[in-house]
Amino acid sequence: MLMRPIVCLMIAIFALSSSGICQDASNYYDSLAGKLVSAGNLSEGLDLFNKSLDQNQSNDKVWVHKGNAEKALRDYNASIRSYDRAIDLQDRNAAAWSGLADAYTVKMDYRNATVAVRQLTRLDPKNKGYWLRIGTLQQIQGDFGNATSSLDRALSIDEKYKDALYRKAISELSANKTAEATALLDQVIAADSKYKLAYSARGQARQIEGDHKKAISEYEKALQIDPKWSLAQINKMHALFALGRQREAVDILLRI
Amino acid sequence: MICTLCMAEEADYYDWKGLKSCSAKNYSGSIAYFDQSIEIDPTYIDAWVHKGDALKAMKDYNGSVDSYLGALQKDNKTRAAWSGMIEDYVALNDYRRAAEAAGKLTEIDPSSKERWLTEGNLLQMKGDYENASKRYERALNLDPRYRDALYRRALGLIALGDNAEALSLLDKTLAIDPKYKMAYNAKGLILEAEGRYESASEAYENASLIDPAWSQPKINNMQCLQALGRTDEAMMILSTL
Repeated sequence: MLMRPIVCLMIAIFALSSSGICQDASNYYDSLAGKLVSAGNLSEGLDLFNKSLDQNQSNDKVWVHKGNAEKALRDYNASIRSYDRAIDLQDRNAAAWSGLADAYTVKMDYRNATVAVRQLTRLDPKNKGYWLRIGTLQQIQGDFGNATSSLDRALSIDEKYKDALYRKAISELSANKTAEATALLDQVIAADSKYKLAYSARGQARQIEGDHKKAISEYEKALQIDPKWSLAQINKMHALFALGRQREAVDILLRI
Repeated sequence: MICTLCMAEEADYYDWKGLKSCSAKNYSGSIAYFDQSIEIDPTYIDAWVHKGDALKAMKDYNGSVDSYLGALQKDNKTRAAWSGMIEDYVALNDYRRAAEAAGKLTEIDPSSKERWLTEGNLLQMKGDYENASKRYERALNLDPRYRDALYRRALGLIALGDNAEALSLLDKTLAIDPKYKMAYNAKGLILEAEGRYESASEAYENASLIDPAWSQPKINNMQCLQALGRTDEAMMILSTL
């Protein structure tokens, strides 16, 4: 009679200690793999993440690390599977949702990327970066109305958030509201006079209004910040073409 | 006689050592070897040229030009020296001198279409579209289906305002090589300049189909859609850039 509880106790101690050993091994491999990945050795790092998961399949953080390594190796489908495993284990893992959004974005699957970022906004609605991210994805899909709402959420957290102001200006431009866009872009430039994207977008606003000379002046301001920036160069080339200054336009074309 | 032979061998040996250092990216070390080679035999052209190459790798473009000039003083037809000088002048944004050096190469190899093309390209870079056009004609005399020359000549014609002839050359280029993405791109620019926005947009899309990662036709298409008043589509493109 006395033997039964002792045996049970021994079995429990063995089970607990072996599970502890497995967790230790899993953490050890994960940490080692992380060091390899940081040193740029992605394939070997990935092998060790797999070893870590062989020891313990239920560590959501390791699945995320594995997903990150696969993403860095450009195996986006595998990385999506890994992030999904992490989310199955812990659906509040922001790193997994973020990695998932990145992988879908690279695959140009913007719908699923949006779903993932939306989840991030639910997990942390005070994070302005998540609202910017969702706004940007909505713009890429042509959903400028909802993009503006998302960007407004970002701006309600930080009214001087220049990336959100810039993105909101793009939404305004999409509706030909050049004055509204310009006002937002002026705010961006007031906050950061080196924000080249804002000058370029201001140039596009001038072009939409038909003022190609002023557009060129804006593009030149962007090019003063970054002389090799192709977006501003190409935009300037178009403004020159529009003014019939073809020789100057081709001069740019040859140098892009 | 034996001594001269020994000197030549020694110069060759140091030049070889220099090349070995160069391939190991030890450029300053290689220059020391090339200098030794030149000191032993100042007429040893290869060492002058290789020293010029090493200096170029160290971004000492003026020093590199001087070294190539050393080779050219021994033999004014040293192709590698002229080619090296062209690269130096391009790196220095001195397209006038680069075009002059390219002119020397075409004098040496007048039956090379590539030489005429290079000279034409450099003349275009210095803004001399008229003379560039003549160089492309020489290249096309050698090979009427030379697509790079057709394309660059078309660009020159756009600069000179002859859009119709440029368009015809670009169509010719595309008939020779339907995958020549730059011709579609340039065609789009001409069509856009003439207000034919729908056709221009189509040309840009064709260029993007050939190379989806190439941003230039995408930006061009964005501009084109903007000019068509389709700013929502234009901004969608801008959002993806």
